[in-house]
Amino acid sequence: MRRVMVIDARRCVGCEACVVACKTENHVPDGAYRDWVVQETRGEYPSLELTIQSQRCNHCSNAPCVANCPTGASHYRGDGTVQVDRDKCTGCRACIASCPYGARYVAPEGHVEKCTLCVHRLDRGKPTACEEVCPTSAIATGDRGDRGSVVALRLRRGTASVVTPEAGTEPNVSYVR
Amino acid sequence: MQPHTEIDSTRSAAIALAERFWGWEIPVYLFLGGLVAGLMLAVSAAVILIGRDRITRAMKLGLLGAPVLLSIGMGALFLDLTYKLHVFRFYTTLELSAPMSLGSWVLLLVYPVQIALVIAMPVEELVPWLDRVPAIGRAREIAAAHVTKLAWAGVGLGVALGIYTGVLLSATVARPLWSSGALGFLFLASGSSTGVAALMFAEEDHEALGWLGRADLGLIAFELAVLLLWIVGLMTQGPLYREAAALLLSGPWAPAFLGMVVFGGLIVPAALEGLALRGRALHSRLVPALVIAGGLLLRFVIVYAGQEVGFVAG
Amino acid sequence: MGETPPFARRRFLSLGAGTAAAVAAARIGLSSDAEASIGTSDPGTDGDVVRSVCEVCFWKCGIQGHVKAGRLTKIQGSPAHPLSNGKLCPRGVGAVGLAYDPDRLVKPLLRVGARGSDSMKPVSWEEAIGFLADKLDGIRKKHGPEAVALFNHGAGASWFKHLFQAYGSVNFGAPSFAQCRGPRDVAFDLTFGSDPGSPEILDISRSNCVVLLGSHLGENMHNTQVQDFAELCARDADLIVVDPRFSTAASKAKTWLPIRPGTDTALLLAWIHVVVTEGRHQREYVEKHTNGWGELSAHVATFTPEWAAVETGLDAEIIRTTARRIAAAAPAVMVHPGRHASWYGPDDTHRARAVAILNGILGAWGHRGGFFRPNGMKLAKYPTPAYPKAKPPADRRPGEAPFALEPLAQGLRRATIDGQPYPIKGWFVYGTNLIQALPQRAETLKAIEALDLLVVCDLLPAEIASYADVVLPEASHLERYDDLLGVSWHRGGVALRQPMIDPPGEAKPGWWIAREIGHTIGLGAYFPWKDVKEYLAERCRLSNVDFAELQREGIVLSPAKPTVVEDGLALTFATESGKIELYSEKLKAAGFDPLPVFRRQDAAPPGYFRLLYGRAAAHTFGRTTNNRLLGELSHNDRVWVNAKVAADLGIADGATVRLVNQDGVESAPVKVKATERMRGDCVFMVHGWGHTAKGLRYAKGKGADDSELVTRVAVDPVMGGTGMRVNFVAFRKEA
Ligand SMILES: Nc1nc2c(c(=O)[nH]1)N[C@H]1C(S)=C(S)[C@@H](COP(=O)(O)OP(=O)(O)OC[C@H]3O[C@@H](n4cnc5c(=O)[nH]c(N)nc54)[C@H](O)[C@@H]3O)O[C@H]1N2
Ligand SMILES: Nc1nc2c(c(=O)[nH]1)N[C@H]1C(S)=C(S)[C@@H](COP(=O)(O)OP(=O)(O)OC[C@H]3O[C@@H](n4cnc5c(=O)[nH]c(N)nc54)[C@H](O)[C@@H]3O)O[C@H]1N2
Ligand code: SF4
Ligand code: SF4
Ligand code: SF4
Ligand code: SF4
Ligand code: SF4
Ligand SMILES: [Mo]
Repeated sequence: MRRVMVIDARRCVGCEACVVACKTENHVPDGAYRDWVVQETRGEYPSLELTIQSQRCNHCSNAPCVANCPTGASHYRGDGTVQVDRDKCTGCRACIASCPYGARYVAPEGHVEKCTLCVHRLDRGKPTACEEVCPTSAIATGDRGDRGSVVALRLRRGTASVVTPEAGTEPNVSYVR
Repeated sequence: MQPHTEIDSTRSAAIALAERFWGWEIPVYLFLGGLVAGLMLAVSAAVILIGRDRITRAMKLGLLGAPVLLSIGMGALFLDLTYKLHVFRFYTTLELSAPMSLGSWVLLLVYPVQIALVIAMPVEELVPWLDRVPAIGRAREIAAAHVTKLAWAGVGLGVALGIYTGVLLSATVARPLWSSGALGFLFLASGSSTGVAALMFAEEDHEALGWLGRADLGLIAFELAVLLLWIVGLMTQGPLYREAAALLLSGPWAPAFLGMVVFGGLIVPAALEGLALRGRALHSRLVPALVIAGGLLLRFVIVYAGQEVGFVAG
Repeated sequence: MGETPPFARRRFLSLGAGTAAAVAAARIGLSSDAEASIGTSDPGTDGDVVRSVCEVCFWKCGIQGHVKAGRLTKIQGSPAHPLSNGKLCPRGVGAVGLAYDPDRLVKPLLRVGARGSDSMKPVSWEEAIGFLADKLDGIRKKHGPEAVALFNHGAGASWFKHLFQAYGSVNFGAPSFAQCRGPRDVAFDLTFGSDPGSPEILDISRSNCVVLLGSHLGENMHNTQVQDFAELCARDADLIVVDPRFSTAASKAKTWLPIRPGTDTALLLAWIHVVVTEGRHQREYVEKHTNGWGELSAHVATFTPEWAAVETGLDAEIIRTTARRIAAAAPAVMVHPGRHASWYGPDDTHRARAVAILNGILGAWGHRGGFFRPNGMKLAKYPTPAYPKAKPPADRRPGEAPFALEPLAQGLRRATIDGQPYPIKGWFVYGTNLIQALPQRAETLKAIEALDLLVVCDLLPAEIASYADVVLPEASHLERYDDLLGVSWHRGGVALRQPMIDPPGEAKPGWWIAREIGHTIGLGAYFPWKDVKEYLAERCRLSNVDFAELQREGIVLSPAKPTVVEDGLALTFATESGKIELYSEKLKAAGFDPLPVFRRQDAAPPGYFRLLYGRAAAHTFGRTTNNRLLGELSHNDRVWVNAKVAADLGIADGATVRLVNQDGVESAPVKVKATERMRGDCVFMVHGWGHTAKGLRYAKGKGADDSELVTRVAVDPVMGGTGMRVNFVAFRKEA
């Protein structure tokens, strides 16, 4: 199984409901975020283009945060997601230094946290908190290997892009139009 | 020209990516790690090149100081951990891809070699203390018998430790300023030159001072070359890397980097030392002091400036 | 597991039903495959589930709260409620931050200092109600019961409407009419015999072409509408957005028309001109269902795209081609009626009429992808004595705004100041912050000065509360029952607001407050029930609704009936002629233009920019800006200024300025968002920032308040709407 998230950029309106839902679902501390929305406007009036992306940890297949974690706390889970085992985490922040996306933060308890792809929910057959709330159904998570899944459908539909491919991390969160 | 872009982000309000995740502890740790590597490397090299009999008192003091400084450095690293209770986790695993894990294990190997070197070549004042314990006496004999092997181990570990302090940063990938293989060599060179400089600081033997001075000069030249390589590399890698390099060359960090690290910490001491070696000036403690200060500042500048440019905006 | 199916069903339908089974199976498969659950922090969705209704805005989505050990951990959309479909907007989710806002009102307060000095002392409920009961009594004896006005907004106001109708007043004003939907409702009412309602009866998701004039969907976050809007975008249907600002919706559009503010009527007339002259209307529909086609054709003959191009600043050819695209999609088309429509005063009802007419000749009303006929549920009243006969409202002078559907809030304010046609001496203000909501603040303050009694019932110490004689702390929508809430949508039904947690301190639900006041002032007969549950249970019994089921599910749906012609709906119109009145005899008889006309707006004085305002997705006016959970989100407390204009004025992006309006009124310091997304002749602010009340410790001093700068209004003579986009501002740089 390879869990991925595919976000339909045509739908997303940048409302940040996903941010608030994540914060309340996962008790994300004040000032920290597991997901966030970036709006980028290109062009000059009146020829403009706006890209809106709900971003989070990309659950990279080539994750520098995992490679650089000295304790194995940051690791790949069998489902293709990247997770942090808080019992192993020393708070050295090598992973924060290594994440090109700024996806991680130090929790008040001292360990490092980030988006878990809500595997605690996916494992129980529920959608991620951000996916569940999203009024535009822009967010979808699922097994990309399952051809019938929404994510597979979306990936087949058009060209998927990822945030900052130059970083070479092979993200598993992608955006389709 | 990039087309006009405007970025709005949830995070621009509360947390900026530019936010510093590593404070003073990391540069201090990297500096002391480099310094200790340099000390070990320099004395071990001396043992191999000029023989153990010509090891000076300053060098022995250097050997003695190394584990102490290393412990201070590791203390800084410990202070940096936000989950200190889990510090033992460094030693329940070996993560081959993680420099920090490799580094922690190298540090564990460094200690016994350093202790062995210390007891093989103790400063006089230490001898009666060591002799009080019979077991140490036996260990001394063994260490003394294998001093050359120990010195080779010291060279190897010194190089490993020195390079590690740079690789720790370059392996992160995520910070353009650090994304360079040159960083390992830069920190090795800088660590070695600060190690030699520390010895020069304590050295009273005129002849030894000469060797050390020449060695330091060579290391500084090497370091300048690697610095140049690193910067040129950044300038040619792309706009983001150029932006990172610009932080040091023309941006907010330029005075510290160009003025204090490159000029004050490398060129000035090299020039002074050059004069001294040609007999045009007296050997002065100013030279090693400048090198050491420059080395410390280099770590601060690189660690701090590196955190200011990332791959993504907003 | 239990919550997955409805969610999944909805989403998969949009992608083709064939995949649903496969995906559902795959999802269930995950659990066996996956590793043991990892050490994530506490999920917010454990604990008890309480289904209820949101009130962070007025859409009234179904919500479900997750409560653990008496603490609300999370709110999500109720899957069973047709207005949420399990999903929510950020404000609804963020209401957890309202529940635990440390600035909440927790005790009744009595004013001790001068009005507006904001010095209050906490008192008991007995004392507070005793005080206001005495005052009410005094007012009634001296001036009659109609001398008390109720200003209100929100579903919770029903208890107080009941109370004051029993008392003998119908002076009920809400800024959600004359400052909001009024012109639109009146125009549609005149044309179709009914208004688009709330939630608007728009079949956006199935439309082939949607036209938005203003209507910044995606920033205007009415949940269901945004859900439907996303379906539209995902279907790649035609979308035309007319807005001087490159709104979120504009970014999704096939065509963005950056119109000169205040010229939409010209554009609409030109569109109608193209449709009419090129015969692109729905012939049969027009013949069968409309009146006044001939007059309309004659009227629009001269409104060519070339004429409109001059007025609107748009390209004539684009006006022509967009008109054709709109017509080509008919009848699955809609020119969105908008919601906040009080923009330019005398232009507003005309503009909304032009929208209605265009929809009318394209057959949008009653067709799939246009305006549907909602289903509702008939709910019985709780039997109480008939209300005493009250004097007609004091808001209008004879002949003024004859088509207003509700009393005008600013008219009640005027009557308070000049005592005409009769004095108003007491205000009961429920759930509206009149200081920010009403334009021309000086008038509001003058009226407040003239009052014998100002009672404010609110959740937070908003500006209006600082002028109050008595402040009554209400329990929030998460902490109280309210009256039954009818749901009027594709599927109709009844929803229940019920408490998830206890209110903070001594805050009390509205029903309790109204009932207590009622019993204290001798209106006990109108509140015969012992508590709200008894009341609700009885209403449910009389309406044949299972109260237990309603409590459990939060909603009970009625059977589905056809909502569009395609499904068998028979079209009827509640106008006098029983037809769509393209030409309005009623307007004509009252001395107004029977067909829409365009009036050119005054240009900005040199150096000034037209002040526009709107919504930001994560906030509802000023009511959420103190919510710490939402306050962390994107910066939207800035004033948008065209980037080149800003550069010319030497104002950098992020610089702090003050705005000074044409009357010399100066705003609080506000940061500039220099952006290509704005026309150069106007600026834009999000309404609701710039709080000054000291009790709003988090929001106070953040951003600036647009309403402070609305010192001028243009009143719509048809229905009394206060057009507020007639103010101009210049910049004063801050050191
Ligand atoms: N998130 C959120 N959503 C809300 C609310 C909220 O507080 N927060 N409030 C709700 C309420 S009560 C209402 S009434 C609605 C209001 O929401 P809408 O009915 O959508 O309000 P508008 O005034 O149409 O929208 C403001 C837009 O009109 C544009 N505009 C300004 N002047 C002109 C003009 O002359 N012509 C044209 N074509 N466009 C113009 C502005 O640039 C802005 O993009 O939102 C509702 N939804
Ligand atoms: N300048 C300007 N003026 C405007 C607008 C604009 O965009 N610009 N928009 C106009 C529009 S479209 C509208 S609809 C109106 C809206 O105007 P209002 O209805 O006045 O909206 P808010 O400003 O949100 O005021 C709501 C008040 O109710 C309180 N409140 C919230 N929930 C509850 C509750 O459950 N119980 C009680 N008792 N109180 C509660 C809040 O704390 C707040 O003080 O404003 C209009 N006025
Ligand atoms: S909730 Fe959905 S629409 Fe809103 S910002 Fe997140 S992804 Fe976009
Ligand atoms: S986004 Fe960052 S934290 Fe997430 S897997 Fe990739 S590198 Fe690691
Ligand atoms: S902070 Fe924790 S997860 Fe991150 S690298 Fe260090 S030990 Fe690993
Ligand atoms: S998947 Fe879960 S943890 Fe990740 S951003 Fe969404 S809600 Fe947050
Ligand atoms: S649209 Fe948002 S704020 Fe309004 S009722 Fe629905 S969830 Fe609540
Ligand atoms: Mo409104």
